[in-house]
Formats: sequence, structure tokens, C-alpha cells
Amino acid sequence: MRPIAYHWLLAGLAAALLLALGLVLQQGPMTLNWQAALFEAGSVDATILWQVRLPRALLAVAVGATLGLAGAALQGLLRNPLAGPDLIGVTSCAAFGAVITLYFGLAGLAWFALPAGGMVGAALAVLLIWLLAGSRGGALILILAGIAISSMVSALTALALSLAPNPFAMSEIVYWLLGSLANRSGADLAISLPFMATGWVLLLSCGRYLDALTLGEESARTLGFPASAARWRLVIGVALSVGAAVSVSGNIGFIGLVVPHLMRPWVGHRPGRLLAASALAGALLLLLADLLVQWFPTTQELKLGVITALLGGPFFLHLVYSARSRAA
Amino acid sequence: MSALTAREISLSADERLLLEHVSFHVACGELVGLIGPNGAGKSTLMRALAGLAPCQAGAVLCGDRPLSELAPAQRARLLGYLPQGAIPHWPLPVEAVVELGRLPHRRWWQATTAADRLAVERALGMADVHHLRGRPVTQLSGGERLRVLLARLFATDPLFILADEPVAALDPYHQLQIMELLRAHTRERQAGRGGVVVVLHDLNLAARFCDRLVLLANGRVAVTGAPREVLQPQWLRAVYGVEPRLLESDGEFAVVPWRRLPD
Repeated sequence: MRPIAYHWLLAGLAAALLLALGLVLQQGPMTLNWQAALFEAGSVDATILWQVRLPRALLAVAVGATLGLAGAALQGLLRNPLAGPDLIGVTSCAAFGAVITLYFGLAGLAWFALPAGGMVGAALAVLLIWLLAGSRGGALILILAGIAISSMVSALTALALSLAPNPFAMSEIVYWLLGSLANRSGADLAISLPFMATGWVLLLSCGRYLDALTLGEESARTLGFPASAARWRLVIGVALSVGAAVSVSGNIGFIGLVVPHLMRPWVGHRPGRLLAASALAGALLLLLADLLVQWFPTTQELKLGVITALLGGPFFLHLVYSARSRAA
Repeated sequence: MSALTAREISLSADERLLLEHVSFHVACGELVGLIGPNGAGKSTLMRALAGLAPCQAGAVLCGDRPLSELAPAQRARLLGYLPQGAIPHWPLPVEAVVELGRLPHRRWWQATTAADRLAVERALGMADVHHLRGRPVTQLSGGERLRVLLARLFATDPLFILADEPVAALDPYHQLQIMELLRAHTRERQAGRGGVVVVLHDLNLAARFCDRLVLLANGRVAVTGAPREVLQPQWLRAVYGVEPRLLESDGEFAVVPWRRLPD
């Protein structure tokens, strides 16, 4: 595939995102009267638009952008196409952190306590992975370490929820492990967005470092990028954005893995350019997935993670298969 | 700023002394070969010269300023480093790989300038990889890939190039080509003449292309000087443990490691 001009690619993705946003806001059990929704404050239409659909859609955009961006950044940092915030256990650790804060009464301490719990969890996961696999560990170590961390932490999450004084433990467990954007409000967006946005800035500022890293760690250093500074920016950026995103959406899988792969040929495989493209594409993909969830004729609304896993799983298998045939 | 100098540097890792009071210098216009048996400390010295490995004693100076005082980007514009067995991680097009060499020349908010594009074109031409510019770098042969990585260094246009065993895995044709390219850097750098340090195992390439050789053994400089002075049988016996044959051809000389000396 020929890489097209970078700014056209970003403009195209942004336009598609706006289009999808319009479509999503239109969609729902009730057809929206835009006239009323926009200009008659207090009307049912306005309430639905501003308090139900818009927060959910914007949250899908923000969480999707976070996952796509974090996936691209982690793949660049670890120089490993199989890295993704979910595969290496970052999202499950973030979910665990959020669950601990939420169910053991810590969330009431401060408005930012919930995302902070998620961020601490995500930061611990990134550091653990870095220690275990680093950039020398190779794909196998990375994935195995990720599987171990994910399953352990998911079990701990389920355990914590079962121990908590909570009659809805089962449905809560499903929510945290699979992720969903149902019944999210503007408040959820407000507590998580500042941290996600800070994380985005940190991650996007690492583009040149990730480009240089293509040539290996030592070459990057001799190209004028002191290793530790940029690496910390990446780790903190991932922790902030993914931690905050997961604390309001649960653990939504595969977006962070799939999106950078889809975008890579379009940016000529440049890790730096991949960042912004993956953020936009991640937002678009999650927004559409959330639309699909609401369309699906199930009695209870499907969890978002189910859709992303159904789409992402086969894609992951395809990646493994093509990696295998390349190695052969 | 006409020489890169290591002054009495010592360096140890994991309580093992890798370099002991090593002094070294390379001037502009000079191609210096670093030779020695495996584990002699050649790569460690290269990494110390590139500012990648901090010295426990002594200092590396660029001109009269210690390397550690230079800002990272400034250092990157002065020293280009080609690590051993470097392979790019993503299938970037060749042109994009060469463009990475321009990173130290611009700040993060700056887009590529006309000067950047000119330097990239010149580097592509110099390393003879113009025709490969659109190819994914991961699909190239060993010789092609190395030329691309050299083009990346040429695009940076540093004063000094440090190449760690660049010809180790190449056939004779490409070995000669890479040596010629390194030689070219000492003569026709964009802004005056540059200096090159190259780690070599092939003593004949060292003899034929280098202005000066530095023979390392056990983390110390055993001998340094013109190739004819360094590649003497007594040194090759003492350091490599091999009995050489020296041959003359067209006024130049060649070294053939003939047999192993008994331990």
C-alpha cells in the first residue's frame, strides 16, 4: 500500500470521525429531533442528546483514542508489533486499580480518586512488563508475561468484587472484565478526560524518539535522545491515559493491538506518525463498535469488549499466522 | 574541533575491567582502524567514544570539550555511531531511514527543511542507494542494508563516524565498497573533512584502507601506528596468538594469519 500524504490521512480520519459522531448521536431507541435538541433547553430531546448520547459518544472517542495511541506508543517503545495495552496486562491492572478504589470506599476521598486508582494500576503494569521483557525480551516473553499478569489480575479483580459488600457483584465483574460504555454520564467524562488528555500530550510528544528507536536503543541515544527521559514520558503517558480510560470504561480489549496494525502501512511504518493516526483511528473504531453494541438485538445490551474481542481476536490470529509464515 | 580524543579512560562493568588507561585519538581526515582479538574491548571503546558508556576514569574530548558537557543533540551532530549488527525494527522505506539521520538537526516542532531534503539526497547518492529509496529496509540484502545505514550517518553529516564491525557479515565486494564509503567520509564530507574509527577483524582491509591502526589487547592499547608498524609478526603472535605471513603486492602489503601458535 502506498502511504498517502500524512496530513490528508489525518484529515480524512478526522472527517470520518465527525461523520461517525453525527451518526452515533442520531442513533438510539428514540429518533432525535435536532431542532428541539439543540435549541430548546429542557426538552426531552435536549436531555437525551446532552446527557445521554453525547457523553457516551465522546467517552467512546476519548477511550478509543487512548487505546489506539497507547497501543502505537507501546509497540514503538518495545519495538514489538504484538504489544498492546490489553495484551500485556496494562488494562487489566488499571481495571483492578479502579475496582479497588471503587469498592473499598476510596473513590469518595477525592474527585480524581477513581482514575488515580486506574492510573496506579496501569503504571505498575507497564513497569512490571518493562522489567520482565524490556525491549530485548522478544515477542514470546512479552506475551507470556502479559498473559500471566492479565489472568492473575483479572482473577484478583473478580475476587475483590466478590468480597466487596455488593449485591451486583456478578454483573460488575463482567463490566470490569469486558468493558462497556453504557450508562456513562458527563461526570465520568469530566473526571477522566483531563488525565487522558495529559497522557495524549505526553505520548504524542514522543514521536521523534520512537522514530529514532527504529534503529535501536543505542543509535537512538547517539541521535540525541537520552534514553531515560523519553522512556519515562512514554510510561507515564500510557499510565495516565490508559488508567483514566479504563477507570470509566472497564477493560476493552484489542483496540490497542489492532488499530496500529491497520494504520501502519498508511504512514509508511513510521512509528512517530503512527501515533496521531492510531489515536484518530482508535476513536473511530471504538465509536463504531459502540454503535454496533447498541444495534445488536440482544435482550441485555452486549458488552463492548465482546464486540472488540470478536473483531480483534481473528485479527490477532491472522497476525500470529503471518508472523509464523515469515519465520518459516 | 578537529580531533576526538580519549584520555586515559578506564571502564569496568560487573566488576570486570574492560578498558584500562586507554588513550586514543582520531583527527579529521583520518581513518583509524581498531583491531584486536574478541573481547579485547574494541566495542567498549567505541561505545565510550560515542558517549554511550560512561568512563570511571579519564575523559573523552571532542576538540577541547569533554563529551559529557555537550548537549545530546549537539553531540549527535558531531558523532555518528553505527552499532554492531544493527537491523532496523520496522519495514520503513529506505528514504525514511536515511531521513532519521536529520533528527539531531531540527527541534521537535520543526518540519523537514530544504536543507534536510538536500542532505538526504546527497547521502542517498553517496552511499549508492538512490535506486532503493522506496524499498522496505527490512527486505534488503546485508550489503544494501549496511549502505542504507551508512547513508543515514552521511545524512547526519557528523564530524566523526564510529563504525563497529560494519563489514563483518559481508562478501568481499561489499566489504571493499563499505571501506571505500568510510574513506570517502574522511575526504568529502559536506563541511570539510571528517574522521572515521572502524572496528575490523579483517587485517587486510585494516592494512589497505586505514591511515593508522590501534591494536587492543585485554582492555589496553598494545601498539598503535601505521599499518606496517602495527601488523608486525611479533605483535600478531603476542596479541592474536597466530603466526602470520606478510605478502607484498603492487607496493601494498597484505597479512595472512597462517597458523595458530601452540597455547
